[in-house]
Amino acid sequence: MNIIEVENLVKKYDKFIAVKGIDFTVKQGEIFGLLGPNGAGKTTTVEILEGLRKATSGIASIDGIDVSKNSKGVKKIIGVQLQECSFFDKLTLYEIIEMFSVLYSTNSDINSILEKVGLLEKKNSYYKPLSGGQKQRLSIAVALVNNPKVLFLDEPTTGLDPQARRNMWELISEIKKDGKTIILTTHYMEEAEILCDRVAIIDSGKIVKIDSPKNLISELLNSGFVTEKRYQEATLEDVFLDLTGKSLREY
Amino acid sequence: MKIYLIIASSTIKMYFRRTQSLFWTLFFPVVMMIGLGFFGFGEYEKPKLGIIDRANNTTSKEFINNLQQKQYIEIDQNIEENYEENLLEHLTDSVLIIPENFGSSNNKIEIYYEKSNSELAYSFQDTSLFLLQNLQDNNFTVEILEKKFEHENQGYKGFLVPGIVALAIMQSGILGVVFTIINYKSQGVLKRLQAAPINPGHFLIGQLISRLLILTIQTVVLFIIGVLILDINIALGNIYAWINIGIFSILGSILFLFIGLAISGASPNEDYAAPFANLITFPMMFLSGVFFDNELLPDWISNITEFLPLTPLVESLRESALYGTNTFELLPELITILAWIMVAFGVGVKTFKWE
Repeated sequence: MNIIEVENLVKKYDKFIAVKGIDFTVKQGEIFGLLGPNGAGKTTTVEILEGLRKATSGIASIDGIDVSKNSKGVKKIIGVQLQECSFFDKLTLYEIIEMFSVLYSTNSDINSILEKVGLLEKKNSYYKPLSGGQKQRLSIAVALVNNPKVLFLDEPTTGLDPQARRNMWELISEIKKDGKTIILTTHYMEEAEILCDRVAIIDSGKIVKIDSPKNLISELLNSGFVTEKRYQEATLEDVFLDLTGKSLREY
Repeated sequence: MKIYLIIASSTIKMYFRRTQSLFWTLFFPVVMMIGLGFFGFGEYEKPKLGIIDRANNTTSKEFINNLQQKQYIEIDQNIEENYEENLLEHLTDSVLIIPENFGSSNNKIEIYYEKSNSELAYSFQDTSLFLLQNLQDNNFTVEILEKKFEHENQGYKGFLVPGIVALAIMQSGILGVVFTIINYKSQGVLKRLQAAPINPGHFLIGQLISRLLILTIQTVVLFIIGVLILDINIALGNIYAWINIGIFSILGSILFLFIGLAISGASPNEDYAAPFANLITFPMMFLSGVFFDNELLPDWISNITEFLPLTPLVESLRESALYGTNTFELLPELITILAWIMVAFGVGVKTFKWE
């Protein structure tokens, strides 16, 4: 069953066209990746789905609700983690979640949400001194206050150290197990390969290809592609994690 | 309703946790008030004597002429109309009245003063007697009389406290809103709020409620400090004073919060907003009668500054605090403030953007 349907979506700005008529569907319960270089139109597409921008033309709907006609209705059933956002600096994490819980008119168990993202011990500290990984996890906690059907994660691991990134992957997999549909944008192909059931590759405002990572790779290999890189038993990241351990580094 | 309340209560929590905001809204105006109030800045002026000449004959003219020779006295002969008010506000230190038939049937000159200005009245008496001895006749008398007022003149500090209260309402009203909205915008806090199922109105009204409460606390604290430390007497407990102070400080707060909103909306980006806010508040600081009476400005300037948003707030708070003037008499100030509120509200709501 499709929970997200996008048809011929176009977004024009004054001088350039960010999204040039894209179509895709997302199935309930899957992690759907949007991949593409900077400026490809990923964030614009996501922000239209989140009700933050109006599409110039085309249709986008989530769980049968048309985003352009009822953005408030859509906002109620989705969770949003934005790429560049921040929270109130002089509120504790508990107070931030509490506030958003009221803004979404829900009555969520704040402690269990904080526990889910591993921030229960930090419930009384402010947002500002958190590490990058903790900030991202708070952002996800806020996105979970309304128990959303669809969760949007816009580059959730950008700027995180390898330990925090792996921790984030685990968190995302756990959220998926709760039956939530996740839209993930990322620059890290490794991340998409591990997490995503299907990915759409976007370039210059158009979707170049949609399929599962596995199918895309075998398709490329079948076309006679040979990697230039010699096969390595381990990567530098493996060395790094072997030397520094996999546990999170934050205080 | 719950949404407004959570935004308002969170804003207040953050306000009291941020030490620099407390500094600007309370510490700074208090220091300014106490400093200027105690040192009596603005009180060193030539003693001013108003003269009402009811005789208008050669004797009276000669006497006035002799008085005018005295360089240390400033003479004002256009005082007739509201000399009592001028006495109370110390715009004129004493008023000397020359009776009809002066020099023939009536030789008694009267000098009126306000209670706290008695020393100057005595010195005017001495000077007058000395000058009159040189006139042809010798049986002139000069009597000094205290003009009784319902209130007493409270000197410069009485003038200053309501001015500083109004100034503080403007500063923290405008700057509080501008800096909060700019910070929220540049940090992406507003964007995250936009992603929640709320309207901009929820955020703005929640902000306004909390800021209004903060400004009210600030106003009360500043007046209390004025009463306790500077020993000013707010309209001798006149009930009108308190009602007016309440009405005008709340309306003034709403006005400057809306102006803050309009500034943050009308600025093309955050780099412009702070200078823009200063550009608007700075001239009013000196042109709206906060530190000195606007009547000291040339008429053509004071005719314009009368309509600045801060002027009616300064004047209404000062009138209420010093004389307990009733609300009806402050109607022109009320109308000016309401007109500005509508302008600022219109601009603020039209220009507000989440991003």
